[in-house]
Amino acid sequence: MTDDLSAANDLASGSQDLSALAGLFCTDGVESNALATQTGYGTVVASSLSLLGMLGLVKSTIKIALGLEACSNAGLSLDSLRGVYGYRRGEITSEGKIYECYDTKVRWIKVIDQYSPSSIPKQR
Amino acid sequence: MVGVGADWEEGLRAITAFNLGSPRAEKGPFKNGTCIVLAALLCSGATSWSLMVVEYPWTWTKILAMPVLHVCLLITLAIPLLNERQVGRPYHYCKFDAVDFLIRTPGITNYMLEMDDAPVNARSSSRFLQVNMKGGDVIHFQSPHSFVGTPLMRIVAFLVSGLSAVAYLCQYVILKSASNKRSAIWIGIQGFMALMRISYWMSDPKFDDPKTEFAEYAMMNNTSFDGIMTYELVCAVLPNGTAPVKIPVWALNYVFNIPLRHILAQVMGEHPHVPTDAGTEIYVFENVNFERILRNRLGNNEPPTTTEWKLGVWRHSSKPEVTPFLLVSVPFSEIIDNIRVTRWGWMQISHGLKGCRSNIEGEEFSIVEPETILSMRDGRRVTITSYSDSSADKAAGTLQEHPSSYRYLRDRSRDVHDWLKIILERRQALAKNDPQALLPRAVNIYSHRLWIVATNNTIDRKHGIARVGGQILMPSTSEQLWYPQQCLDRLQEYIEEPSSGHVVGDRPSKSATEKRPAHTISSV
Repeated sequence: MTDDLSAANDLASGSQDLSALAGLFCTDGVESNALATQTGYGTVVASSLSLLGMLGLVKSTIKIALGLEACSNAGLSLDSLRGVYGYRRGEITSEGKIYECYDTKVRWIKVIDQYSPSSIPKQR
Repeated sequence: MVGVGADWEEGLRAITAFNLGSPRAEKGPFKNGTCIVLAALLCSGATSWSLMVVEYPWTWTKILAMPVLHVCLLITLAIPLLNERQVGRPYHYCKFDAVDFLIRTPGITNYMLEMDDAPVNARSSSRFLQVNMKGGDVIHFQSPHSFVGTPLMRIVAFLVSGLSAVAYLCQYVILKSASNKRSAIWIGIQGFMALMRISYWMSDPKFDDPKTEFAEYAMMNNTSFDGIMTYELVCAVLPNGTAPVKIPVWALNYVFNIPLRHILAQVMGEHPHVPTDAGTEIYVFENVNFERILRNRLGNNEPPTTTEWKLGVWRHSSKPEVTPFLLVSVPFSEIIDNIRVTRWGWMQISHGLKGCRSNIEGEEFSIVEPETILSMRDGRRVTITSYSDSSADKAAGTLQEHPSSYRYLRDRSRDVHDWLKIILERRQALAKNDPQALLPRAVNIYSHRLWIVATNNTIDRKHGIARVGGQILMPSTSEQLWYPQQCLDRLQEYIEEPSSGHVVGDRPSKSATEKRPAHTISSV
């Protein structure tokens, strides 16, 4: 019994060293799902479950801080960033269904024009 | 990434589609903000606080390993979730103001338009993704505020990821002091949670789907408008780096209120060149691609021009009349320190050009040589005379026409004129045809300017019924003469909250429980 528990202790404290193994099952999965908002909120939220594979979350957060261009230049994989940043301009995807979008902001600023009435009628 | 409705069976020729989202997809219990926050608190909390099974004094190590890790995990989750809340909810952000703002032809207003990246006031502004495809535009509304990609977010993300890594190590430091039994419990909990996580991902539950493919679209038929609509102008603004594009109110009112064909006929005809005296106000739509607007109106079937052109307008401070003019890009010479430098500038095509005849609206324009052209480069406005090579000009160090540019200007101007002529003829032909021919198989047609279509299985927000493909509510003759304001009113009635109980007058209201077999209208 004591031997079993000591083995568990070794296993628990040694799981830090098992990170490479855990990476196979956990870290990569967490990294690719942590930002996958296109598949739903739950997918993202679940990625914070369990400390095993949490480094995937750290990795994806660093990538989101770097942005798409910097990650691409640094040779990091961009797959996990798609949900948030989408695709870079001119990037070709296997699906071929990606359209280029422009993020546009517009606003009206009130100014006085000499040939316009000073107030606008509310037409609703 | 957002769904843009790429698979419209009928294409989007001459149509601008506004994604109105879907109430069902965005208002489900698992899309609720409180619900998401609770789930995030629970998941990250379980990860951080399960180390409480190990007894350890409250030192910095423990503070880092548990409360700090919990906070870090929450912030880590908040970044993508917040982004999705801002970007992925067209129903939420497609409030009346946003639609009103883009669809309304402002008429006489006191507002100028500005497009930039500055923080915006949610009342008087709008933020959206726009994509040009299948001959038309799709507009996807989002929050006027953005978080992802801002410097603040980057700093926060870096700090949080660093702290998380430290907290991760602290967890193992504490674990090393744990008894065998406690360690076993801890690794059991973590392993179980990892299993739960992976089984959740593998099962990919349906309730968690974003369901962006279930959406309603308000489609504006651009061929039926005379003046340019706000959304047409906004979509045609060229990306201009970070500098804001500001359009003054008088120039806006002109293009919004004067029918496009009249503007074109005027710029192609004989009209005075832009005066150069102090009282003249000039605005060149430098960042607005009018060619895009024209081609979009005709369904993008026309080949693009080979020569770049721009529209400008001017008025005199003593008169309210606004006059349009065309500019084409031409090379010219500038003498800088006695060295002749060839540069490119925008020059006005004035007085109708030799050889360029037009019989638009029954008029025949006279043949006049361009005598004066106006350069609009670097904000300078210099009048130059063709063939002018006087020493006075040289001494002044002003612009001079390139020796070959006169002919060049004429050729390029002809290109543009010919192209515009084709466009006008095409538009006339299109107007003669039955406007119904352009209509897709849609539901909820309100007039030939506006109709609402819904993707398969989308619940109608007004009546709570699934949209049916074959059901076409044909407009009456009077409805076909609706003005943009009336389209807007109908759209407002449609997108406002169903709880108001207001139902569009001429259509019978359906009971909320009535369900009909859904029929494919278009897939997304």
